[in-house]
Amino acid sequence: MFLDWGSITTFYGQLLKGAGLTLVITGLAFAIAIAVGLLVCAGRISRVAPVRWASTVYVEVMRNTPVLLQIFIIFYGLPSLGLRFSAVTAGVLGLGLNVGAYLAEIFRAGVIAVPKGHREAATALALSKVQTLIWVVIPVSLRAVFPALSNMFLATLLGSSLLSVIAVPELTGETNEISSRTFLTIEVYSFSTLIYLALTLSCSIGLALLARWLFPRASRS
Amino acid sequence: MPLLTMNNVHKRFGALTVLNGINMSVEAGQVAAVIGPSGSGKSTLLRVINGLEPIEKGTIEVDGVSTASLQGLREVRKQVGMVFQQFNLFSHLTVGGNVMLAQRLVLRRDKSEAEKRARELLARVGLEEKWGSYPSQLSGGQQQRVAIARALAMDPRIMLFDEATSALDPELVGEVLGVMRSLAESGMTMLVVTHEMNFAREVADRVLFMDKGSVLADGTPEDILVRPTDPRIQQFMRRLTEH
Ligand SMILES: Nc1ncnc2c1ncn2[C@@H]1O[C@H](COP(=O)(O)OP(=O)(O)OP(=O)(O)O)[C@@H](O)[C@H]1O
Ligand SMILES: [Mg+2]
Repeated sequence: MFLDWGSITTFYGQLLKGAGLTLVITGLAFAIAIAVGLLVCAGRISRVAPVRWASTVYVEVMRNTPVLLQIFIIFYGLPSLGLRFSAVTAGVLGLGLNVGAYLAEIFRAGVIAVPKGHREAATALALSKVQTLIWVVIPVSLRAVFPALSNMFLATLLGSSLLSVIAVPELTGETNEISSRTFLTIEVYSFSTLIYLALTLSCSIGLALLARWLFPRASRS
Repeated sequence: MPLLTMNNVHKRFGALTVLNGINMSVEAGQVAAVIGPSGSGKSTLLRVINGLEPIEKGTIEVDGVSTASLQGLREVRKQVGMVFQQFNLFSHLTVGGNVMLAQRLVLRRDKSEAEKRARELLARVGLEEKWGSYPSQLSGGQQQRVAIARALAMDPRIMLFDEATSALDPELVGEVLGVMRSLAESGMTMLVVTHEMNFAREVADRVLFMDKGSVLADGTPEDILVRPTDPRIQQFMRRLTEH
């Protein structure tokens, strides 16, 4: 068997562009996921029963159906209702809405993890509900859920490769394209795998550093 | 006019009546100890004052302000400091951060003013050198003293203590009682739920004995602790001295 590693160098630029788009998609999808997650989490613990039910249905449906199908519905299905998105937009939306359901559950666990005494102390000190949320509940729960959030971020990064199926030219998409054009199959897929590995590892390290900076060791209860 | 007044206060948890028509008042400068068997409603008595638990019936006034309206309740919370059995320090904030947070957010003090007040109070409870430590780095007794400083930083009119020393190792009880004692001597109005009978006898002007959601007896430490006439109080005191 003959492996032509040298020829890959020709495609560095294209692969790096794909990797760049992967990062952008991941960042945007995760931002949407955080917004959706906060909203749905608030819904899950709402005092209004129908809001609670709707949020639960959302979480269960999103988590118990394939994300690829959800993306197909947005990309292929919604145009028949007059909503047309570019492949990138549809992919970012689909990924964000899906990951948002997971984040909602993580946030909920975080809110539950805040000791009741913290809230009572804040109330006794005359902090308003919003002040308590911003200055006590969110910081304490963020610390509790940060590892889970980091994992979801990495899962989102890897999951973004699904968007290649609707022809988004992110890293996997570009890899497919090069492979089918040049037949450097093993070489280019192995190389992309290494790029993914480099991306996830550097994100992991970055997130770990962020955690160390945000949460000094001794502040962990 | 008394600083704290409770009129016919009723509180239920489901079918269980926990406060059954409480009538009592505390004068400014007075130190009142609350004693009584477990489950008699002592903690609940404190918790309804600043609205940690809503009441079904009756009125509560602090310095003439009723807790019935949301606005009144917020005003009352500023006037009432509370110290919990489990300290309840904010684990994500340093000692200084704990003592400054509500000063900044509620009293709108600027940073230097809040810090000055916080340092003063930490010095008063003997912990000025712990400014940058986190609660997890402190002993229980130190945490409780920080919690007292945090409550005092709001310049409250009255301080509520709910078994402030019950969660502490025996050797740490003294340092917290010492702070409470000097607070009482400084003229602070205090309502103190406690199992420390020596503290109640030596520091309190008044002792309230609670049983089944009512104040069964209200008198001097001498009346209640030394020469109780009510058989239920006699029995309670006997149980305490047995171990
Ligand atoms: N949030 C709650 N929900 C239901 N029941 C409660 C709640 N809080 C307290 N109770 C009940 O109310 C009664 C009085 O409780 P409370 O904590 O006021 O008693 P206490 O006198 O402080 O007792 P202890 O000496 O054990 O601290 C108890 O029977 C308790 O089980
Ligand atoms: Mg109690």
